[in-house]
Amino acid sequence: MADTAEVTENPLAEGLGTERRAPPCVMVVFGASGDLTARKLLPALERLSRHRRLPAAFSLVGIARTEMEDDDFRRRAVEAVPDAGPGWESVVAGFRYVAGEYTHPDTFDTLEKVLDEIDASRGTGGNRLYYLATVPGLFGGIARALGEHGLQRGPHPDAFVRVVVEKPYGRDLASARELDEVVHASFKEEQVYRIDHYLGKETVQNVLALRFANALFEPVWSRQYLDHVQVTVAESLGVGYRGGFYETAGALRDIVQNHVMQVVAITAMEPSATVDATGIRDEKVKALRAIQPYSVHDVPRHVVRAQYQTGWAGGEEVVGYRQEKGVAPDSTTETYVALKLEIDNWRWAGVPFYVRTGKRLPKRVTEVALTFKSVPHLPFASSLASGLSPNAMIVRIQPDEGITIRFGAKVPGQAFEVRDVLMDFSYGAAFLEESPDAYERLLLDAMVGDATLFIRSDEVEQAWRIADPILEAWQGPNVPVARYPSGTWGPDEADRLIENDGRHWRMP
Amino acid sequence: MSENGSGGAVLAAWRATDVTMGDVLAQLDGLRRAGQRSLANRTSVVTLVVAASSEAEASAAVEVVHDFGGRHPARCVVVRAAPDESPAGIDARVSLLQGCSGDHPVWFEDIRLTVRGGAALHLAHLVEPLVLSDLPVAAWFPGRAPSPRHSLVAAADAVVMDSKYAIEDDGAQGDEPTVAALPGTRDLADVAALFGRQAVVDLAWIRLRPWRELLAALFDGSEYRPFAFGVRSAEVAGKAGARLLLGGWLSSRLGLASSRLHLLPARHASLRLVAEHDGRTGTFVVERVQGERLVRASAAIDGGPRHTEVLALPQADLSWSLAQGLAHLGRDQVYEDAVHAAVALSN
Repeated sequence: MADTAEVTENPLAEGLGTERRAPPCVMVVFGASGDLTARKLLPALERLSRHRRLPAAFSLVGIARTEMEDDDFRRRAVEAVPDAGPGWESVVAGFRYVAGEYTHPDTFDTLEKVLDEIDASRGTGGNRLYYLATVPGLFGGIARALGEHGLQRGPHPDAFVRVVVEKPYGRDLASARELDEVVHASFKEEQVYRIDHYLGKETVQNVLALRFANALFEPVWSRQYLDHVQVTVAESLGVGYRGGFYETAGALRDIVQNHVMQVVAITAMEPSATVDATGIRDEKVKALRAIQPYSVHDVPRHVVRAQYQTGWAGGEEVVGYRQEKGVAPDSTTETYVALKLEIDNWRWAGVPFYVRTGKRLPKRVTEVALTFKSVPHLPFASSLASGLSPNAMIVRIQPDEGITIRFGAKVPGQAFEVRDVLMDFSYGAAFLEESPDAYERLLLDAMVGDATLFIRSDEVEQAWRIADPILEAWQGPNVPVARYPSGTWGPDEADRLIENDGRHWRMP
Repeated sequence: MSENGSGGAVLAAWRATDVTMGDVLAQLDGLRRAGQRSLANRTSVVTLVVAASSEAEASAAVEVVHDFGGRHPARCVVVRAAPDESPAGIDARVSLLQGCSGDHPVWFEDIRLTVRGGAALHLAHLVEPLVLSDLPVAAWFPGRAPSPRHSLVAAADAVVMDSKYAIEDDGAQGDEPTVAALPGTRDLADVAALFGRQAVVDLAWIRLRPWRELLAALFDGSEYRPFAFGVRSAEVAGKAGARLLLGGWLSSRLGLASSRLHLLPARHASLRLVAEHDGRTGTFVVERVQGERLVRASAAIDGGPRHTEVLALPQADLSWSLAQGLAHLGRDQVYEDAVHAAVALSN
């Protein structure tokens, strides 16, 4: 639910569908000279401006340690979006820059002065959106400093103040709780917007539309009709220049704990009475709570970790993970995880969710595949139905967003032969509108005060609760790390994980 | 069998003279079957029926719908009614085209009919079997706005027209200081007569959307919003149709008396509002940047905050406007209020 400061309706805005235009505000980016700001935040702001979603009374204050003048920062902002529309320079002209240490009092004194100046000159109304785009270790310190300087609240009661926190939110359950304590000492939970850009993807949200806007699908979305669910988040690239960072993360922290758990939660959640921040997040938390974490002892039976080896990917020979720059030659950091999740509730009991994610897989694809149970009796001669598989519904999240349904059809001819056919729906072919980029969507959500697609504190805790025993199990001595050649769908151990249950991974 | 349209390659086509609608439907089925062997997706979201009043208008409309089909997959039926031509009969041309919607290949169809003789007075019956089931039907009248009694109006969920053709332009250079002397308000009354069961999509209104959005946005925020309720004078410049629609819009949304509204002829649309709140004066302007396809919007409060926004105008060609208009079919109450207010301004 938006908590904007608007009091009266704008009579000229009626009918324009511009309810989702951001109100006047100042965005303050900590880490303004960093990669995320240049690659994601500034291009997203430019698109918001081009699509007339950014208010005219808008400004951005960049904060970083790098010494820079306002004009240097503005030049960087222009250069960060080489294909910007003609209006971008007029937006950037109002940007300001504050150089300083992230937790030093001088930095925040200067920030307060700059914010007051902007309010007076541009009419931004005291509304603030802080964006923590620094390294995660600084999140707590910045939140604390904002609170100590009274910047966690606006200059008047109608003004909004929100803080967007990038992932990862903690390294495990204990550190996530510690960070929450620090953040909550300055900000109320409803002011905190924990971002996971996966939720900003149009097709992740489309899972909600598919399930809850259609009487056709929701009734079969349960243990009564489904045999199992597969969630695949595959990347074709290796770790590239991020080897050093990746060594401290691994696929479980980098992908499973956040992106995968969010996709699983949205797939498994019960219908919410309303699509708003409380309704959706309450249901997601309930779904995550129903996932029983493994004991450390059970982890090896249900979870596979692996690293990519030298191999051929995309027509070129590539090095293995341990040969990547910044990676220890004896690293045990996983680039691939496959695991089986059991959701113990009435809807999902007995329907396992098999999850796999990895780097250097054959292609970049994210999908949720629901495999249906076989029909109780097949009235055709078995030789004529050999080409028939159980029905499946595949929700393609990226790159070719859409839905594929696999079902059996009669092969034309005299015999009653049946085989699989695919019915394909592609979002791109049905809608004129271009989907907003994930950051574009989420930045606007944060500005208008819609927290539906941000992660609430209890969701973070639930996801770490599931991941923690796995991390603990992997810390032990002699825990194997499987290997898979680059350009393949993962190690044999992952195949055995699902084949032991009489199932197999689908080929996305 | 391939020729290039403006917005898609023709995968297959059939044409014949003096045919029955049964022939047309059979050919359409045949083409669709042929198309299903291709790899392209077929996802239609609307049936667009075009009521062309001449051969030239029909040809121009076909060009537009080919381009449109790639952006907004639709079945397009272009009908030219010629009740006075003989011998009576139907000439038909059916094409299956492939275009691209973003990165996705899409198919779409166009059917072109020339109807001579008495059948031309019963177009709805001819078009009905060609309409895609369960999808909305939009009837586009590329020339003047249709009579509410036109048979295709009754058969459609939405009527698409361009009030540019309903309002005679005044050359945009003459002296025209008063509302009462405006030409075209009587024609807008004809447009207003269409408001009823169907949605009316006015392409002129869609082209004016950037001006409306920018002006509305100037009043966002607690600093600026109160000025929207204290507008002392509003100056709207532009060609006859644009300034009438924008003037009607301001009048209806802000409850402005005609004495506070000044409509001036100009080549490009612009809006200038002067408003008061709490003893201060605010000026709110949306205008075209000289010589460029840019619009500048600025707000300035005396002794207070000010800001300026510059935006690029979209390439508002006909197929773009059409696609925008058909993206959200439904009655537009704000538009209807604006037209009613524009008509009332002249009385």
